[in-house]
Amino acid sequence: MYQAIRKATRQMGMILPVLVGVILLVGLFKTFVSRELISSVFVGRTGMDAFFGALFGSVLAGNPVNSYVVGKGLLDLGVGLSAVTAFIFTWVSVGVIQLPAEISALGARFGMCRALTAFVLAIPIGGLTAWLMGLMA
Amino acid sequence: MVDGADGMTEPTDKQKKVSRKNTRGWWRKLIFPACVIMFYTLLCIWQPAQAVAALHASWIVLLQILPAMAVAFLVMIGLNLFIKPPQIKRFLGQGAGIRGVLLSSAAGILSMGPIYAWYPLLKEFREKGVSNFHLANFLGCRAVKIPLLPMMAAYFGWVFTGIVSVMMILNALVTGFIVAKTGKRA
Repeated sequence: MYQAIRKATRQMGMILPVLVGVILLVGLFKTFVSRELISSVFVGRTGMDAFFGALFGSVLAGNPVNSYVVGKGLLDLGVGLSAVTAFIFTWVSVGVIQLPAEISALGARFGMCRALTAFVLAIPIGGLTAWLMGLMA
Repeated sequence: MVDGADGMTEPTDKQKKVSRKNTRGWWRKLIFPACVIMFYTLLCIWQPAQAVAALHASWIVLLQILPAMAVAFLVMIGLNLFIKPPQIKRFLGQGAGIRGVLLSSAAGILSMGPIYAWYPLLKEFREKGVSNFHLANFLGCRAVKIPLLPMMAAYFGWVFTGIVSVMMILNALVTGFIVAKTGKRA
């Protein structure tokens, strides 16, 4: 039992420095990136908006509920559903801020490949979701 | 891995080599937090109010992840005590089949709390033989948050919530497949 606790503590301790850095970085983003700043980027073109939606969702971090609130706000501002879907999607599936921690734990190739794939897929998924919603409306 | 006298497993030569490599490169793990702390120091000089606000936001994040980290820590102790690498390999290694896909998907969907808390556990899983596909699938399926679905539905409706949830699971599978292929080529 003692050995198991010691091993788990060592494993947890190995990732702790990067984790502290990630937490501090999330604090910075929460302080400096506002909803107004995000909504100012969308220009009204579906493809570009989906790209920027995915980009912002990838960079931002925090509770997924925040992505719903911001996403709903963007929809109300007239931003397309594909962009909002890509935004919500990458918020929970990419996470550029936590990437250093993921790379530290699982390796650079794994972390980069996973994040990049999720980012690229978010754009067509945004379009597909908007299309399906249009069909069902 | 071989069973030791105390019931714990002894590391193999390959695992010892990885452990030595990790120990040697420990200082590299300090570069990223050191950069962030340096940024905070500069921010304290130029915009102290913003620095305090950022530190407060970080503190809130820390409080949010502590319960998940505690769960992950307990799971790690349990894994070290009871689960042997061959068992994990059988359920979540390469060639685990549809059972492995369902298991990693369900674990991802049911796992709670911020992802940072789960990285040490995922690292442990990988060292015990879990394939890249299942790790990526687990991370991808974490996008589906069952307790938050009603909230998402309140904002966007149940149809949107259903479509997005299905898309997230499909995306996790595709991402897992691509990550596994990329890892193989490497």
